[in-house]
Amino acid sequence: MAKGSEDAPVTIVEVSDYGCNHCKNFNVETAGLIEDLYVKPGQVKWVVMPYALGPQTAPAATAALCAAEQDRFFEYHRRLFDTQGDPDFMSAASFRQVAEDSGLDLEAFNACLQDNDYNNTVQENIMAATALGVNSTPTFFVNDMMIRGNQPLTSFQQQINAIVGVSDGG
Amino acid sequence: MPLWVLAMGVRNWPEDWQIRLIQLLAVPGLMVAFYLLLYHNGNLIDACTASSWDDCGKVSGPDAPYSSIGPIPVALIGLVGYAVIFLLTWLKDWWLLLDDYSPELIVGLTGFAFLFSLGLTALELFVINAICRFCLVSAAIITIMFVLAISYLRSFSGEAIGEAAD
Repeated sequence: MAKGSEDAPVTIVEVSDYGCNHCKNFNVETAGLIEDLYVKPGQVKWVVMPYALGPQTAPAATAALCAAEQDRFFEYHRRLFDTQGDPDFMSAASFRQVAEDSGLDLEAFNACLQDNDYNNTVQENIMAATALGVNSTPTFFVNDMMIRGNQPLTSFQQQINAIVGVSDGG
Repeated sequence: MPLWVLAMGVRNWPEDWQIRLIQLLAVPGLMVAFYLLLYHNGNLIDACTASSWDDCGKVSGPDAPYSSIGPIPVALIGLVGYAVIFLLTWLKDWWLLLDDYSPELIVGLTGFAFLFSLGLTALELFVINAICRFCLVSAAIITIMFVLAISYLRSFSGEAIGEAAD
């Protein structure tokens, strides 16, 4: 799931778990700033890898991928974090409510959820992330550089500026 | 005085050694509580780990549902509790009235803190389904303090009975 210019010199991959409060905090506090400062101007391509630290949160990653079918992934992604802390936020009913709030076609979304279309994709994401050394969330890859944890904007700025500076100079 | 102290050949061991140990333990207690308060306030960068059982974020994070009692963070209650225990064990040396009642007061305080910690640990194990190692360290400190406080109360009561008999 990606947004931003395909030609951007920097690609940031976000590996998040929808049950992780630090991932929520990152998305509330920092993701929007990076989007405004770097994604919209075309310097950064932002990629999200729906991931799950355990089986409890895997259904949320599957639901997010169902939203991606309707090109509403990022809207759903943000709203799903907003439901964190609700008693039933990992239930199908909650996923459907978020889908409704995100303006998704509910019939198609429900069919996708029921068919478990993306269970394997989530498992593949987990295996791929584990192979890259991910064992906590949020984890980011700024091009090849791994950043662990809910880091402030300045951490990303340092990496981005270093890469863009090298690109400009080279 | 405990036998192991005698066996170590320590001389001039204070009669209220339990109180000195409680006072000493209050220092790491304060540090742990302060760390947890920073954690609760989101001042420490952290991440969720793959292990579902060791996650301070779920227990004491800013969005953790059981990390506050109303508007008051649990970590702040801990910080104040350790501060009160430290002050009590320090002030009793200067304030005779406090010294007279210090065994009961310290048992009461550490007993309440022990029950509070027990409740929080039960919440972690059976409701939140995650533990925070720093909370466990705090619970261990409180438990040791409570045991020491009871030991002090018993020795104090023994002295009082001895004095009355004399």
